[in-house]
Amino acid sequence: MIIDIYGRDNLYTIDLHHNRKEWEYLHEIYVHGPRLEKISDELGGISWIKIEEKYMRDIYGEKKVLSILTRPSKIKTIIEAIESIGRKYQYQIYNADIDTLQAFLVKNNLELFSNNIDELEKLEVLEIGFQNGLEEIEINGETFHNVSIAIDEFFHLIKNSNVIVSNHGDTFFPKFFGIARKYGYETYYRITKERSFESYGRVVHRKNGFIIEGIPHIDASTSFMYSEGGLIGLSLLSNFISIPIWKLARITPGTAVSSYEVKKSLEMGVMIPLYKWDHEEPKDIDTFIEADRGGLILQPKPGVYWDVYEIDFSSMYPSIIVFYNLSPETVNGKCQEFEIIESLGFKICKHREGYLSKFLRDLLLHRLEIKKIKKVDSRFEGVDAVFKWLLLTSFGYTGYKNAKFGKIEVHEAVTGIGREILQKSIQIATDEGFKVIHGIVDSLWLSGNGDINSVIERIERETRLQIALEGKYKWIVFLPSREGIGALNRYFGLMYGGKMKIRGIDARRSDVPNICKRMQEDVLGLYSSINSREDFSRIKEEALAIYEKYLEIIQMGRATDEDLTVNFVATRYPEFYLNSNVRKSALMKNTEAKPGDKISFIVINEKSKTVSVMDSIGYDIGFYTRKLRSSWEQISFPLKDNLYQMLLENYDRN
Amino acid sequence: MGRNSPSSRMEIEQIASEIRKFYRLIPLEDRELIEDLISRAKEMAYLGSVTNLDPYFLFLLSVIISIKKEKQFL
Repeated sequence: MIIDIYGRDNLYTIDLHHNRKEWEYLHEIYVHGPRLEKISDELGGISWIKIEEKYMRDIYGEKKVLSILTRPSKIKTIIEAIESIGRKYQYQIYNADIDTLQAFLVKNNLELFSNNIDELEKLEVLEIGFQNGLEEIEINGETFHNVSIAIDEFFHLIKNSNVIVSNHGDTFFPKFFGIARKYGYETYYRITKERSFESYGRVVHRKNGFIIEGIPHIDASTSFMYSEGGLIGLSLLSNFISIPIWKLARITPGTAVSSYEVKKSLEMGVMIPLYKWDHEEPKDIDTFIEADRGGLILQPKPGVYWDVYEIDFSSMYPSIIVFYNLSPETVNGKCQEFEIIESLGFKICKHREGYLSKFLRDLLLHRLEIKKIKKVDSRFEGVDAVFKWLLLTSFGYTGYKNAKFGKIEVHEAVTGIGREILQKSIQIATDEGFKVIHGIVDSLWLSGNGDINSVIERIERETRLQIALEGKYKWIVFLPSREGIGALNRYFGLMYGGKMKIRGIDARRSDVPNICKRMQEDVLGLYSSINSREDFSRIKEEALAIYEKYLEIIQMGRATDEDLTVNFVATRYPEFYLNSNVRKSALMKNTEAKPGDKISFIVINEKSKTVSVMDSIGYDIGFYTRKLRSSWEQISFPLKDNLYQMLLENYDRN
Repeated sequence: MGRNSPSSRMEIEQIASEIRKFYRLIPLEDRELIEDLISRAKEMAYLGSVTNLDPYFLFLLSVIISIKKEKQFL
């Protein structure tokens, strides 16, 4: 079992038993364009490349290409040479910017880790955590206050370990390894660049990565993929997409799904373009407006609803890509037989399967299999989580201009078909005697006495997609927005079986003081015993007492730092914040913070914008009272609305 | 990545802010009345995500439907 791979021209693999093997690797890139002999004439004499004429295919069809075999370190030089010969855009270059480690693994049919979870459990993990810098270091559960003893212990254990999982290793390892070098411990490592970027509307800060050659290092404190999937999830994914685990731990699910598509292309011998030429097609303004829309979201009426079913499509968007055959070359491409998306006028090829649909079909089926296994084997929970993320992001990448298999028309077709499917489902549910209370892209909330199984069966038959019953709520509350109309994604409800589902309220938000969250959680605990409208009236006083208890804590100055902490994610540097407020003050106090970093603070005085980022010395009672009141308004809504509903019912009866 | 054209909810919001421009010229009770109409239009703004109807027409249609429903209920 290969645990790690690193290197550039000479590659090294490390197996479970710490054996290192050296490999030589030559990477193959392809060039297509007019007068290919110009390239072979110019580059043919160079000793470190081999040139050959071949026929290869990209997703659009077969092409005559020049295959150039070279060392990975020379790829950049060759690209520059070809671009200079072809005045930048005359030649299309393929497979030039893909991960050479991944290409090597696919070419040599080598696997990273294993797809057997029992094998993965044999991995020896070295855990190290840094508290207060290097002052307190925890290694495999043992705490060290002396850095030199910690270094000896660490380098003693590293010999028998397969993976290092650290807490803040990316931040403190450079210093730790620097000191270790003075003690004679030689280790080869490199540091990747830090960067901030935007992903799904959120700014993310990726710190420098500390990569150790020969043993994969994962920093658990910064790795989203690790936090979702754990070591097992990450190693199975590493096996599935042939990307080293240290790299996988530091990339987004979107990049992971893109790497998966690259792996599938390499396996199928499909060339991957360096620069994509799938520009948006010209369309008339009506089609543009029709196509440039997201998922369908209905407008709920705020209120308490009883006996409500929630049905959700399983992986709706990836399923649409797979079952409606959406791929850059099948949407509005050359084809003999089409299916037409009525609303957009897009033609979808029917007689051949698109590459994107083919790739995602395997991913979708793999996830469905994992989902099944997860029900009987809880070790697969993390695995399911990472594959779920891959599927979730696979759709978004179709609209990303640099995605290798992205094309905006595919993105538009997916959302267009999604809207049609949800409308069709609403029609079916209404026909079957249900009232639609709310709908968000791939979920519907229905109340009524019809047969829910019949609804599900009909939707599946008529839409070709799988839909499942998420659950039945005893009651569900859709909350109002500030303007009084229903908020689209703010609700909570109690399911039969006891599960409380909450979305969008303060208890789930990170930018709300903890004391407000605790108050809402306590009230929700009270709500978990509610079985009828009368119960809401019954517990009203008790709920109010909870609120008043927390209010008193704030107003008597008894709230702890933990109660008062507010978190937010910095979206820019402080000087770029237009308004001067407590968040900006907190950011200015965290001099090392970068956009994407989480900042925690306590409000000392909102008016003078005074905050504390360490231990607080007093706090702004007015600010926290206002926040608590706002959270109470939210959570106490059913108590007021219930009274209104009961009055309405009595009015109807009389 | 991202959208280029405003969503139907944004279109309705834009109409609402246009309407609000003449608030200073009208009495307070009229403002409340108009706010009520705006909120009725917002309740049906989602219909714009499946049609190419003119947002101004959709605004009026939503208000008419809402008032008619209220009349029926009473």
